[in-house]
Amino acid sequence: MIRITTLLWVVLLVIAGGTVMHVSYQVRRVQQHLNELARSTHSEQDAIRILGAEWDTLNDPHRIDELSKRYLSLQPTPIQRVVTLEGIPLKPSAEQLLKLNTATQNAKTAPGKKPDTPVRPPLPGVLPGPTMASATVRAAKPATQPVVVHAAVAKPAVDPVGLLLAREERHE
Amino acid sequence: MKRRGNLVPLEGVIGTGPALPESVGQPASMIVTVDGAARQTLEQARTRLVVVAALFGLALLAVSLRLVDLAVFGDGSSQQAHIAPPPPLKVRSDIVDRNGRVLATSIATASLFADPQKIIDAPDAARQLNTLFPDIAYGEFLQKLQGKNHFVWLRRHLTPRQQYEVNQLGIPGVEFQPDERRLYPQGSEVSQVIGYTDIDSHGIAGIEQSFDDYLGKGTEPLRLSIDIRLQHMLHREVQAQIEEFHAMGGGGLIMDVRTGEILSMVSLPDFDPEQPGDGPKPAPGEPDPHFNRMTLGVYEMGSIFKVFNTALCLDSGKVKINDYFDAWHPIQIGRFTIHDFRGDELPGYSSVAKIFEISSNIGSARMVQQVGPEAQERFMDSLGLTKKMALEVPEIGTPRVPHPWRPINMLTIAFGHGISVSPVQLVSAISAIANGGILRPATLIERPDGQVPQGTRVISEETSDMMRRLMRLVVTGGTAKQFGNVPGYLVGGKTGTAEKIMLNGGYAKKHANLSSFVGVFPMSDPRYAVFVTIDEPHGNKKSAGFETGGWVAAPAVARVISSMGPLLGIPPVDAESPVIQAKMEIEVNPIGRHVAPPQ
Repeated sequence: MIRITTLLWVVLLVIAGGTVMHVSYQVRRVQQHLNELARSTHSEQDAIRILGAEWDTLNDPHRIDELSKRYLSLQPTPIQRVVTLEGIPLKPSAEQLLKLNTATQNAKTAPGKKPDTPVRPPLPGVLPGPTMASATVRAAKPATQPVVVHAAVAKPAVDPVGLLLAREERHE
Repeated sequence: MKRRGNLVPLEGVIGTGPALPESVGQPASMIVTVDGAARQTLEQARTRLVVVAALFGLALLAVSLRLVDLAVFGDGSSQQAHIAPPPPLKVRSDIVDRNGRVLATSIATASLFADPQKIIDAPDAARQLNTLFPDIAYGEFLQKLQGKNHFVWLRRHLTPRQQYEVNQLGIPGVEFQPDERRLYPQGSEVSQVIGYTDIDSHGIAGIEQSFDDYLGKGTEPLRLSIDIRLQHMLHREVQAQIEEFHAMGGGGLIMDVRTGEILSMVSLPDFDPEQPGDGPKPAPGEPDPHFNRMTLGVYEMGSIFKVFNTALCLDSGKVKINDYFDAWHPIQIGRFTIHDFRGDELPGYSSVAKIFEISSNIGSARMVQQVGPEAQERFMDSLGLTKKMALEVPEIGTPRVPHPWRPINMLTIAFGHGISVSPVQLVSAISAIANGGILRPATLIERPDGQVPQGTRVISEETSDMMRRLMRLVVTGGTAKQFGNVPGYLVGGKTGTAEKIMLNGGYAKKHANLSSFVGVFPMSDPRYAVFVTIDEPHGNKKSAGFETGGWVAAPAVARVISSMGPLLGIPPVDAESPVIQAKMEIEVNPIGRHVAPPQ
């Protein structure tokens, strides 16, 4: 009876010892892995700081300014190109377009009329003054219509996208 | 068999061992046999021995196998197991601008030091180090390595390559210490604001100094109110004016008039914060690059003070916008005569608006006579122009104010002489006049959203509205009409050209002006104040010989506004629209009093 108990204890002891050994080794292995991770995090963080510093050195506005002057023909956005959403006219209906086309053709054939007169883009929330719409356009439509719509269609030069595209083409 | 064989030596021992007393004197050939209980005990002991020996054998075998495994198949990966984990990365915090762009950062480096007591062959070590670092003399290395102490820096902040090369030399007693180095990616453009650190990364100027404790903790980056893009624009334009007019220096400020945040602060000449000590030492009479003109410098601002003077007079109720003053006859007080730069333009009586528009000294002085010196002193005090201001940099100048505040001081202060303030104070006060009358403290630290301090009211809403109309008038028709206007942004402002005070206290030198312009835009609903000052400009052909604020500083302000407006997405305003026209017009009918010079 005593022998069996002893044997049991011995077995338990061996199991316990083995478990302790196993856990201890596992802990060491995990610790080692952790250290490796910490070390690589450390060096990554270091690299991030250095790269961040380099990024901001390369992006120094002074440097960008110099480079852009030397290699690009881009210019700062003039104020006239800044418009609000309300400043952009709605797309005209087909009927309006037809009438406008006739109006523009009339304007082109009219003697002494210069269709390429530079036009200011509409300022936000402000109805364009008399310079915006030509007399012909006003004659074609009743005065109750918002003039800004016709002005934009009749003179594509005020289209900001068109302006941008035209500029890009020039630069190519 | 085994049992039996093992038994023999036992018997032999018992039989032959001289140590046993029982066998003494007996013949060697005698064999003793053990029987019964004794024999059983012996056999049990023997069994146990065998078991134990077998266990030991197995253990030894395991160790041997493990040794073979490590020696033959081992990959050496276990050797790191005992290296302690690296300490968490802790360097000085970054300083970033309001958009998170890095203005100052620290990177970890290694520094080289030596323990001279451990150096075996100092001359040889010095020679080797000298070949690696030719910029440090052999003699210097030798002297350091032969020292009596236990620690001497050889070189700070090595590059990784240099560190590798020193490692390759393998000189005993020469070691590395982890170190950090401060970098300023934006170069000199923000140097005056940021300041700089010493070689041990302790702030000794600017934000670096005033936030040294916070930055040293290495936690979150410090976010300034500065916008590096605006800083560059302002820097570029101030620099351009300095070069064009051969000036000795200059400065500029951009402030958010609603919050008091300083978006840009430029003082020229400036310096490289990574090598603050380098560069030529300024000669006597030359400006010091480390001197921040915007915060530490205090100057007589000249006619810009007419903004405060007019606001004071209108807000007191003692002067109405439709009043007329004699701006023609010079004012004689004691041995002083107050006259005008272009006095002949204002014969007879002039309106308050006209006096402001063409910046008449006489008219301004006549206006303030209606109010008196006490009220003026109180007003300047409420605008924060009489005391040292609170700002997050250590370099703050104390204003020079008259004491006592006599009537003659009152008259000169009306047009900005006899009181010296720092440009930051000036722009804060201008912001308060333009933003509806609330003075908010200036700051270099970004205010979190919606955390704008309440501020203190300095003038009424109505006076502020009138001042906006008047400041717009200066740009559309007054002293800044040539250059101050930016189509679409409804700029308003005031020029100022002040003769500089010499060291002896007088105004002597020709060409010694401080020409400034402060512009606020858009005047219908002010957002930003832009200030530029140029120190000792020299008029040129292009400016028709003029050195005034309207010719020298206003063009720079206009250029800054036209670049920053689209960048910040500020919608342009049509100055011709009836709504805006109504906001900017000045109603002077019916004509009010005519204030004659006191006889």
